[in-house]
Amino acid sequence: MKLLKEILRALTRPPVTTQYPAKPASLPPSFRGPPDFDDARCIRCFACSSVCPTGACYVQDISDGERTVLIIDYTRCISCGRCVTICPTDALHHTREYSLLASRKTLYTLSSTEVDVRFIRCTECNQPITDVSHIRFIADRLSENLPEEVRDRALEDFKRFSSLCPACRTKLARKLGTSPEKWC
Amino acid sequence: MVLNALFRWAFRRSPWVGLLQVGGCNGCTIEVVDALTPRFDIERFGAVYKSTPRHVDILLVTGCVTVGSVNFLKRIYDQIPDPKVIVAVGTCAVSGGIFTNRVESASSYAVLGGIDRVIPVDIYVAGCPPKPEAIIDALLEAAKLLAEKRQ
Repeated sequence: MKLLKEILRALTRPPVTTQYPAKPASLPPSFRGPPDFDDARCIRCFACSSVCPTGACYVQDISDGERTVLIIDYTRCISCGRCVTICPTDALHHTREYSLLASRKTLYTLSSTEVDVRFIRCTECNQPITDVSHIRFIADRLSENLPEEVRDRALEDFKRFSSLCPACRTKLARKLGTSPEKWC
Repeated sequence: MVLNALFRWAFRRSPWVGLLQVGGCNGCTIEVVDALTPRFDIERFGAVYKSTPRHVDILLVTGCVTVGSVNFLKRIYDQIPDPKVIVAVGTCAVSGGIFTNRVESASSYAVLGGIDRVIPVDIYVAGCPPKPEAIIDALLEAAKLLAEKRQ
């Protein structure tokens, strides 16, 4: 009787085998494909390239440092999503690409986007520090999150320090003194 | 001549598949085995899994090449009769993946990188690990390539 039930069920049910090449694959909602980059949201902090464990995501200067390119190499990317997690402005997101085939390695679609980096230079020693939009992002975050009492003073200090390179910043901080009494 | 044509017709839809792991974490190997199960069933396309390289048309290689696996990878490549198609399955087999880095000094000393450092590769499948669907795609592509090589 049990066997008969099993036979009837097997006759009525559709086969478990997927109809893959005919029908597209079903992906879970949390599927992590290789990440893609959105230039409009990027603030050029390049945190993504510093956390990438395989060096798939990296920044390269082309034509003698005049232009900068952010490259995501899909032959190296393991879709771990560390760049997506660390991105402060959600400029990176996972695609839903699951079948990355190529007959030659160079045929792989590198997601390479030219990013326009406008460097701020140190007012003391003329060293490039970081991008304008990165500094602006930090200033916005500071003015949003600091308590009222210290906000104006902190932003004033930030303005003074953000136009300096790390070495000159240290010098200025030594000169001004960094004792905690300054903040209370 | 007629016999050749008959052989080609008979071979057309029966690519026999071998699986070789040369390093890495075993994840891609499990995905390939997954493609053999009834759920994905690559035998729909006439592909039969064979455990000896002498019967194999398509070799799926998973994992990065370690210093210890160079010799047997070369030997197994030579044992496969022509024409053969080599498929690099997974990011490790394509480029070395997590075991190497784009920066040479950050790579492992025991890992050479992708399998194309040792043997010629026809099809690359990236992904860590690639879905069984991607392996099915690669297999169909490899079968096409095999038919072209038999001409």
